[in-house]
Amino acid sequence: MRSLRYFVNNIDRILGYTAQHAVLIVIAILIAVTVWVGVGILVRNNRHMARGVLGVASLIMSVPSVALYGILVSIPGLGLSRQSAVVGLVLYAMLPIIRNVYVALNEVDPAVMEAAKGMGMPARRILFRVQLPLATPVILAGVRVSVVMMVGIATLAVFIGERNLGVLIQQGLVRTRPDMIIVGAVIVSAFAVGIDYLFNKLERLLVSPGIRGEAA
Amino acid sequence: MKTLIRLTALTALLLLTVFPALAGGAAEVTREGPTISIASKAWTEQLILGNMLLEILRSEGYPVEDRTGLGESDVIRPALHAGQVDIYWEYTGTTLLTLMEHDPVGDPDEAFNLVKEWDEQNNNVTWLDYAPANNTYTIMMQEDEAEELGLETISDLAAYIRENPEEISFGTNDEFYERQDGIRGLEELYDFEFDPDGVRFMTTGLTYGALREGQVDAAVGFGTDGRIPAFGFINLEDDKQYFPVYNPAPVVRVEIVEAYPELPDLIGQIAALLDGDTLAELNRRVDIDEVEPEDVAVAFLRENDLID
Amino acid sequence: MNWEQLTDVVHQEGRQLVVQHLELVGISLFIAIAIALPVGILITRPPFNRWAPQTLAFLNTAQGVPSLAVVAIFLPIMGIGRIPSLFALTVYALLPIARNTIAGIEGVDPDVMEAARGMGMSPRRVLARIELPLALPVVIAGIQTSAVLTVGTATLAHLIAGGGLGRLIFSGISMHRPEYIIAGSLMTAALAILIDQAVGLIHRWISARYSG
Repeated sequence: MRSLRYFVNNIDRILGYTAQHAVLIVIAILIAVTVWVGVGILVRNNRHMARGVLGVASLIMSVPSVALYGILVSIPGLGLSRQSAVVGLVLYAMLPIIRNVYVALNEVDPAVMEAAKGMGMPARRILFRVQLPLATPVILAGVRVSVVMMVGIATLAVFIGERNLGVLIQQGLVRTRPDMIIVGAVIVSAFAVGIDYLFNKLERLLVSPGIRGEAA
Repeated sequence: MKTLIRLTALTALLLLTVFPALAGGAAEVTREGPTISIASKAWTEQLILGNMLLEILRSEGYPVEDRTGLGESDVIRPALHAGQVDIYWEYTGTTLLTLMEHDPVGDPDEAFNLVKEWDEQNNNVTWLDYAPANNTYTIMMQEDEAEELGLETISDLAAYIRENPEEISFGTNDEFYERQDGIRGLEELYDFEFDPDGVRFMTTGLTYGALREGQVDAAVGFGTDGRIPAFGFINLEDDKQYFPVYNPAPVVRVEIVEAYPELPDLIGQIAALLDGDTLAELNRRVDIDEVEPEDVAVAFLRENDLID
Repeated sequence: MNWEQLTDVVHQEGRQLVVQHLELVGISLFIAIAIALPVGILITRPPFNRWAPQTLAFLNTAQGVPSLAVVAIFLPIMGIGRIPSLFALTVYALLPIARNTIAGIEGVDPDVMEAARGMGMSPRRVLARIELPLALPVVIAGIQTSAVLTVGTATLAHLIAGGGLGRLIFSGISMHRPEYIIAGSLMTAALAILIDQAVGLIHRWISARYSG
């Protein structure tokens, strides 16, 4: 009840935070998906390189975001800026995406690959016509995990100057104000669910009916 | 198609909400010069103090940028030295002990002069006059429990723990545990030791909640926090004057003072008004009465005729 | 930088912090696997697949909410310390495992399943002999991601008296001591890579058994 009252009384502020959250998330998602799916494709045939890249990704993911943002801020050229916030989010998205791209591309049935080669398809065509379409559901599973994580982690970017829903959570914590925390948490999770819903629609567009399973 | 419509509607809603926020803003900018970027850390007192700077400068026609609510000094300091932040409120003791790694100092003027000289020499940053409020550490207990055990001072607590070594659990943040003027020096001076298994680490704002919920018997807090009376806590008296001084003062880049020579006097009017009780009352309005820090800052400046 | 002080702290508390951290990660990851794996399998088949969207929405919600917010909201009920830490960590580890389990199983070639059914295998046998072994690499990838995520997130347990390596990192942040942050992050990263490798080993062991 108190949360509802807080929400109503501060609706302007909260909508502003929500908009800021949305902008940051959308930029970060676009970059993260493009870059990390690309990297995953590049390292797909090189076990050593893939291991190295996944090691770096694990290392980054195991650093708490508050510490990572602290490091980014002290890098000249980044500082207190939206760039820092975006870079931090993109780095966190690295592991789930690259790992799933790598695993998915390498799990494509060797018989199918043989068949494609036998038909005289060049490697690039096999990648785009055979491997990627077959791997898309697993790749999207990784992307969707990353996206949901980014929505949550974006709240911590308030420490480096973003004004998003994290303000409600952060100030709720230091001011012992569960109502603020709940309002922030509810909107953040609604965001996560909403964006995931959009990805669900996207998945239906991208995955051919022949390899689509039953569940969402 | 339905999705598309919904998406468009959502985007429109978001844009509508962003633009009024951008267009909004109070007084006109009437002074020429560099934009002053005002920062603060992300807790109540800092938010109030930061917003006071913001509002007074804005109403006097300075070009300002709002950067209140950032992380701790690990975020603010690099930004200050790089010129991304121009001014924020810092506590003399904090800079002295964490950045300079100096020994604790009990005299407000001595502490102030040390940090000011250090920052001017090393960082091209200066300190404006400090406020009389001393936001130092305090050891808090629930009033009922303290009364039951007959504890009023830290000496009482020390004596009690010496006799019942495993009974009192203690909630602390990292800072208080680690720093020179923290738990170890306290134990040394008062000659006791908390049960190592009873020392529980948590983030700063959580010590109040944990103490209220009875998760710990005693906890560290900040003297000017409005939750202490409101949650029914008492401050155990520091009868041996262990805790050093933490006077808040505006820390500002020298370039800004050179561009606006009249700035220190203007801001000095605020600092002079902020004694311990005043600051505690302002904190209480935010933490207990649930007024937003911005509104508390504006009301305070109006009450004191510092803004219209 | 004050490396001597850091060495002292690591020497005195390092072992305990690593052990606490491993306990937090081990227990929560174990529970998360025990929940997310069966749930992931169940919602790929009737009649439970009707509940797939709701289940995933729930998991997304859980993952989207910042962990400290969860803990703060539940403070009056769960208090502080290990229990709420384990709870939050477990909830956090669920989504990557469940998502990959589903994607892995649904990615199994329908022709292979058809063939297996044609041979008269029961649905249960198809699951155990065909679907799970074929989905295994993707499932394991999900577990590895969860493991690394949990090792990193477990540093936050320190903020609610849950113990672990967060102690070094958050002391470093509040005291402006980069060497603490570096040491804490390196130890956390080392644990993450170690656990990641351990899961990889288990994967190879399982595959060897299946094919052998």
